[in-house]
Amino acid sequence: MPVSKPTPAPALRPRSRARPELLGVLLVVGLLALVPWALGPFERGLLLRMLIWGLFALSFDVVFGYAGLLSLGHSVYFGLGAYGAAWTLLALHSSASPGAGLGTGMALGVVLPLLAGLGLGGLIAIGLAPLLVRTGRHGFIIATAVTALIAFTLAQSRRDLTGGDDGLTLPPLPLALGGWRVGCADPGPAYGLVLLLVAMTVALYGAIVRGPVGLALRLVRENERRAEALGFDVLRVKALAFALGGAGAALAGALYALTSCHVSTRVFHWLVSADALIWTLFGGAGTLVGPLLGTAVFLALREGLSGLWPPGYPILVGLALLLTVRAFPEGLLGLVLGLARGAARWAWPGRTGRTAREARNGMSDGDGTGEKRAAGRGGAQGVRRAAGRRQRRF
Amino acid sequence: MIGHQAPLTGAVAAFGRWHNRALRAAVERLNARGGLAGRPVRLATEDGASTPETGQEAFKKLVLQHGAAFVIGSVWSGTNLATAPLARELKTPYFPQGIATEIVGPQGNRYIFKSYHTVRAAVWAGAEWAVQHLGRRWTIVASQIEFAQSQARDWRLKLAELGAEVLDVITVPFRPTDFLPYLSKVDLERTEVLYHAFTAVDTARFLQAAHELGVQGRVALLGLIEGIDVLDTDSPAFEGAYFISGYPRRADQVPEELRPFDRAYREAVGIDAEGRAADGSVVPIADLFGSWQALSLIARAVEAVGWRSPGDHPALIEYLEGFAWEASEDFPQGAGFLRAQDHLAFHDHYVERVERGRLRVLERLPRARSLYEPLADYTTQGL
Repeated sequence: MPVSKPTPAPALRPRSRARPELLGVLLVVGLLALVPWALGPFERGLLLRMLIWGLFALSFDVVFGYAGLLSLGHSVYFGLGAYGAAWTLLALHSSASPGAGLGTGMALGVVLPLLAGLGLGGLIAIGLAPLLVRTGRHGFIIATAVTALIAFTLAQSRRDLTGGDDGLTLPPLPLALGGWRVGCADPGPAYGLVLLLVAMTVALYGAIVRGPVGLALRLVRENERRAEALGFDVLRVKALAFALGGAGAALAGALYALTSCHVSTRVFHWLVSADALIWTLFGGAGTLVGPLLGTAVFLALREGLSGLWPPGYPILVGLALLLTVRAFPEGLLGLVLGLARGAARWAWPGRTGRTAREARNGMSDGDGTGEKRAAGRGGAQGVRRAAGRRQRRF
Repeated sequence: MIGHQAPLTGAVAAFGRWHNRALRAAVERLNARGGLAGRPVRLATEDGASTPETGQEAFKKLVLQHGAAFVIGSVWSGTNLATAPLARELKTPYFPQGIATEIVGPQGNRYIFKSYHTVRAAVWAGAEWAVQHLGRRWTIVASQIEFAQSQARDWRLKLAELGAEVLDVITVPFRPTDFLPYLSKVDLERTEVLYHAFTAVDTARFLQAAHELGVQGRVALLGLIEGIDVLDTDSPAFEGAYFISGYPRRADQVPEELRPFDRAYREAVGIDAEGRAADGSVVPIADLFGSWQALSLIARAVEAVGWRSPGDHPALIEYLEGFAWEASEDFPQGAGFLRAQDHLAFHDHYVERVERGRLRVLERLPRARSLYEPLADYTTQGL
C-alpha cells in the first residue's frame, strides 16, 4: 500500500496555568544561591559537583526518560565538552600576557572555554544524532556503547592531546568576585556561575519538555507507530532529543573541567553514562527534578557512608539505591511527591495531589489526564486526516 | 592528623588496602613512642576509588573536613597528578604513592614529596645491568595505561643512551581478551629481551600466554616488580622471568645489614618471611615502603623543626629538601635521600629472578645508578 507523506504534527498546546511548583523551584534556586556562601569550601565544592553531575544526569534523561532511548554513549559528549573547554583554557593560559587585566582574562578565560566545550560536544552530538537514531531501540544501545568505546580508545591513544589516564592538569578558572578568586580546592565565585548556567539549562529543558516538543517526545517514547500515524517524524524527534541531551552533557563536561583543575580520559568511558542512568533511575526518570534530586542524594549518601565504612560503603550505597527503586519505582521524586500528597490529604481531607507520573507528564492539568486528552485530540484529528487522505487517494 | 587518600575500591584497591594497613601499623608505632609534636597521631582514611575525580574529593575532605596536616597519597598516578594543584592551593604536604615519573616533574610542586621511586628511577637503576646480562635487542610490550606507557618511554630513552636497540613497541589495550595476537607480533628471531609493562592481572595473563607460545627460554622476560606485586610467582608461567624491584620479597634475600629492620617491619605490618599475609595472600612489600617511610619523614621533620601547626609547613618543607637517612626501623628499606630539587627519594634497587617458583635476588643495584636529571626544581617556588 502506498504510504502517504505524513502531515505536519498537529499543534498540541498543553494548557498552562500558574503552578505552585514554580514557587518551589524559585525557593530551591534561591536557597542554592544563598546558602553556599555561608558554607565551607568543601561543602561548597560538594554542592557544585551535585549541580554539574545533576545537569549531566538531566541531559541523559532528556534522551532516556523523555525519548525512551538508552544511550550508553552519553559520556562521549560530556568528555568532548570537558576536553574542548580544557584545551581552550590551556591555550589561553599559555598565551596570556602577565600584564593582562583580570576583566579581559575573565571574559576570555571563562566564556571562550565554555563555548568551545559546548560547541565541540554539542556539534558532534548534532552530527551523530541522525545516524544513531536510525539503528532502532536495541541497536541504539549497542551503537551508542560503541561510540563510547571508540571515543575512549581514541582518547587513550592520543596521550599527547588528552594526557591519557593521568589526564591534563588545568589552571583555575580566571574568575574573581571582589578579591575572591576561583581555586582548585574552593570553587568560590565559580559556584555562582555554575548555578546560573544550570538553572538556565533546566529552565530551557523545562520549556521544551513542557511544550509540543515534549509531548512529541513522550508519544514517541510510548508508541512509535502511533506517533508516526499521528504525523510525527519519529526519527527527527529522536534526533532532536539526542542533540538536546548531547549539548547539555557537553555543557556539564565543560563546567566540570573548568572547576576541577583536571580532566582525564575516564570522562569518555561508558561507565560515566551508566552513572547517569543510575542517578536518573534513583531520582525519577522522565522528570526534570528527578535526575537532579537523584544525583544530589546519591553524592550526599556516598560522602556520608564513605566515612562510616571506607572499604564497604559502595555496598551500602548500592543497597540504598536498590531499596529505593524497589519500594518506589518512580524514584525519590515519587517518594517525595507521595509524602507531599499524604501531607496534603491530612491537611485538606477530600483533596488529592498529583502523582509522580502526572508530574512527569508535566501537563499540569491537576488530574494528570492532560497528555491523554491532548494526544486524544491530536490522535482523533490525525486519524481523521489520514482516513481522508486514503479516501482521496483511493 | 594524618590523612590517607587510599584507593580502597576500584582497579588498585588491593594496593590501597595494604598501604592503609601499613600506615595504621606505622601510626601505632609512632603513638607508642609518644606521637608527633607531643600529641597522639590520628589517621583519617578516605577512599579515592582509583579515579582522579574521587581522589581529588578524598584529598579535599581529608584536609578541609578532617583537618589533616599531611596527606599520604593514592598509588594511582592519575589521582596523584590531579591532586597536586590542590596540595599547593591548600598548602598541605602530599606524599603520592603512584610511580609515574611526571609527579616529580613540572606537574608537581613544592608540596609534593615522593618517598619511593618513580618509573624512571627504576628503569635507570636496572638498565645497565639488563643490557649487559640479558641482551641488546629489545621488544617492549606495554599496556595502554599510563603506568605502562611511561615505562615504554623511559626504556626507549635509556636504551638509546646505552646503545641498545628497541626493535618494536607493541601497545596492548587494558585487559585484552587475548594476548596471543600481540605476542605473535614479537620478532622472536631477533629479540633478546622481551620487556613487559602491565598491571597485576594482565602481567599474569601475558606471562601465561608467553609460556603457552614457548617464548620462555628463547628470550629473557623482564618487567618491574610493580607488575606482579600482589601475585604468587609459584607458576610455570613465571619461571625464569626477571624483575627490577625496590626491595626483596623474601626475607632470606634481604641484605644482611637490613635484616634486623626487615624483621621489625614485617612483624609490624603482618608480613611473613615469604612476603605473605596471614591469609596467604601476597603483600606488595616493597611498594609499602612509600607509605611507611613517608610517615617516618614527617616524624623526623616535625621533631627537627619543632612543628606545631600547618603554619610551620615552610620550615618542614625546607628541612626535608635534601634530607638523607641511614637504614633503621624508620627506614627499613635502607639508606637513601630526598633530592632537593624534585623531592624524589633515591634508594637501592634489586634484580630478582623467579627460580623454582620463588623470587631470588641476583644483584643489588646501588641508588647512584637510579639518579637521573631532575625534571623540575621546586626550590625556586615560593611557599
